[in-house]
Amino acid sequence: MRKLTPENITPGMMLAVTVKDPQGNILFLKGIELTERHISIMQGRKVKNVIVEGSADDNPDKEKQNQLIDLRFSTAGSHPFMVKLRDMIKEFV
Amino acid sequence: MPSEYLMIGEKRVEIKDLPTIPSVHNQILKIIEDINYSVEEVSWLIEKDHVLSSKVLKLVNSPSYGLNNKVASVRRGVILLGANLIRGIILSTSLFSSKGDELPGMWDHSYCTSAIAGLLARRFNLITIEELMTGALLHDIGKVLLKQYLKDEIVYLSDIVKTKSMNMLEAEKRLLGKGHDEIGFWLAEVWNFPPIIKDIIRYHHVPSETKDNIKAVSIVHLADIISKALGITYDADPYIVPFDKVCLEAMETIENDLADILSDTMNIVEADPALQNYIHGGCNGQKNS
Repeated sequence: MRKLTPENITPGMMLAVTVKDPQGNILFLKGIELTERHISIMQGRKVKNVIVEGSADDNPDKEKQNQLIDLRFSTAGSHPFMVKLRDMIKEFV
Repeated sequence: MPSEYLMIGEKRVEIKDLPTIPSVHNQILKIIEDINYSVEEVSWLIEKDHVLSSKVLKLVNSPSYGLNNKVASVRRGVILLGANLIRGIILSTSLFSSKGDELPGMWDHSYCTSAIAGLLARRFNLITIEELMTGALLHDIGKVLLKQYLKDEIVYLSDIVKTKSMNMLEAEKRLLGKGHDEIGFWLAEVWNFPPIIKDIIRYHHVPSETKDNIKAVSIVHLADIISKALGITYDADPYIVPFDKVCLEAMETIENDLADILSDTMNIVEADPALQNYIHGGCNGQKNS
């Protein structure tokens, strides 16, 4: 998964998490393939983040961010749920 | 009845020495003790204080409240939030930022934890959402006493946390013999908080130890972890306390719902420049303001 703003989405990307507007109203359900129409509706409804399938591009900021998240989780124990949460947080921030 | 004093390490803290609350705040707290309090009177007093007003509006407009239209009036905010949350906002505002004793990051961490707890409570059909969000707002209240009465020890605590990569709760227990959860519980007893809020304060790091409110306390436990995982935290306290797996029983579908919860959490963060600052500040779990 990776987080994008509506401006950076290209048609054909798959939605990984249901999109809501800032008021919490559901716009599109996860699993759909995004089109220009979806993108313009999200822009019109002032959606800020969209989580799509696929892995994030590598960049130094992202790596630094991930190291910080690893550090915070270093004392959280090794329960599989914590590992899942940690990895998911990395995708979302 | 709570004991007249609490030993924290070698320091004796007495009820009569407890932090004072500014008189206007105290006046509002007194008014809302009456079940038939006047919304007009409370709103009028809150409106005179721009910090309180903005916090009321921020909380009622957070996605955890799920309102379709933005609330712009303090009066409507007071009605929708209810007496418990107003009490929580006033106490946390007074205590987390009393003059000269700022606890950087405490309000932001508490607000974020409360808003995430609200999201979780809605998803897992908890009906006591108002008390739960109040408890989440006040979950770290024990840290106020530490900051106020153990100034030297606070410095050692921060050093231990940094040099030993240890979470703050463990450092507190090692140095002082008790953690902020136990200290906060004493305050909650002195101030006669409702039972569910006392349980949240006492057991937010170990929800499996609570008897009556496992679901509520588990929700705050997880909300606290998510808030810290995002780096939205008290600046000397970046490390996450070990996860209590009772959460997985209290919130059965949490593993499948996690992506949705985090997506909603990011909406809370993106709606608030102060919270965004922690995530995009690029520092090690510390505020960059």
